[in-house]
Amino acid sequence: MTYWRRYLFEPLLNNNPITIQMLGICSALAVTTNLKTALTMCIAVIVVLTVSSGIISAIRHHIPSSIRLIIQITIIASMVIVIDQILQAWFFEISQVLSIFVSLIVTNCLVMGRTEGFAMHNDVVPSILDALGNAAGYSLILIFVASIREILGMGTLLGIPLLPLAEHGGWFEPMAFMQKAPSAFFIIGLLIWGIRSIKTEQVEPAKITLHNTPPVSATSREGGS
Amino acid sequence: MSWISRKFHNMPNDSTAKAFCMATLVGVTCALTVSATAVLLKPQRQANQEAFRQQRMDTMLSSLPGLKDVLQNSDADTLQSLFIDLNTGTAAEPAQIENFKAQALTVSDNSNAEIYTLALDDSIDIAGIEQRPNLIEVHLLQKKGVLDLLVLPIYGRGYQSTIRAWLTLSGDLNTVVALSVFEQAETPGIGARITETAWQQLWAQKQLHNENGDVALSVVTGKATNANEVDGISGATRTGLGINSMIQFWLGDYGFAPFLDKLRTGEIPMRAS
Repeated sequence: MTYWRRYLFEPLLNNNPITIQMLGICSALAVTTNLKTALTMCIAVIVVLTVSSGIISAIRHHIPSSIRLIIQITIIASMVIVIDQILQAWFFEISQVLSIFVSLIVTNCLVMGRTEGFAMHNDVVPSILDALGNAAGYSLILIFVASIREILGMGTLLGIPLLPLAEHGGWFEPMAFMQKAPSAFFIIGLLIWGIRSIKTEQVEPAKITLHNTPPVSATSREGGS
Repeated sequence: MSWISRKFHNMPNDSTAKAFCMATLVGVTCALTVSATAVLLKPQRQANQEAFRQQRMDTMLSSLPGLKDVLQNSDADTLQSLFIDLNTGTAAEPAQIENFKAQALTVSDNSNAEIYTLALDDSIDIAGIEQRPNLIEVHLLQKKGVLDLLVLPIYGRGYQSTIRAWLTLSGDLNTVVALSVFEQAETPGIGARITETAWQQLWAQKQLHNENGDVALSVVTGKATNANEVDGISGATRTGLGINSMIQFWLGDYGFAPFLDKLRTGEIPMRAS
């Protein structure tokens, strides 16, 4: 019973979709200004990815290869609409903030990457485990980035004040930069550096060397939004 | 049935017929799922929208300077809601209101829609709303029988969504007290900044009309240079233009202009308190 562990836990750190595969970066920038929206986005991605992977894996023998991408997108998009409707009905406030990003799960490379790359060639149970694992790996990074951005940008976590704000007589001056999208790039960049310093097997060989300069480690793996 | 299913299973996966079958099956299944969710959850979503609209209204009214004192010093029903007939600019008859509300509940019956809505030609429809209801609800606040605040609902097409807002005018029907956007789905971080308090505060004390008496209140690109202009949000030019069109339409002849004229001339008497 070790195979399901591999599907489930490998994507958490060793093959994380964000830090290794570089997938789903743009939503990771957009929704991580605070932990609450990040958590909602994580749940949405987990549900969409798991259910779509399960469905696509179940009907994979009947999907003609000429129209496989369209069929995958149709299934994913339908799931996304259903999730968006549920958010609007029962989590209205969060949906006001997240609606556009939830719609964009359709174009999240992570979802298409896993359905096309894994669910199309594997049985239902491994596909669901792989989807859960990858969505959890994505969620892990989102939660990490969102926690840092909310604490340093607003002095709160999940809306609960953690650091005494200067405007209320404390010592902490919120860093407005942390609430802007580029800060997520820096945090994810530092995170990748950190992980690869510990897990040196993740460091990629240099692809280019410049004349008269020491070799540069290029991390330009193919990625996407 | 088993014959069809066997035939389907035996079809070669790369045949055109199979591609058509799968596309149809997946398409129909997904369409049914999406439609069922949308229809089942519609009442809940509408209730949320309505509650949010009411909440924005309350927040806006309670944030207006001095309004809290006014409400505390006067009897509670000084803030009144009024259905007005946009075609005549007068207060609507109770029977009209009943019909209008009943019609809103049975949207599917479009047989005599022209009684309730006015279809707008492209030349008139600058706000991009295609049709306009004949009755609309406005809110008035009176102080000692004199109009103090008038809250008008306005809406129209922004850059990528319908923007809905309350425009509050003071008793002179020219000075803006507040603009409060309560529904939009513009680009987050750019157009969606119209919901930020800092930007909405720029609207206070702006003038609706210029010296020629034309409606001139507008969002400009860059900094405002006179009392009719509001600073634009950089990157959100089209959202700003959408708001300008909304103002031009709703304060024009097909919007509230007939009603405002009647208020100015006193044809709609303020109820003495």
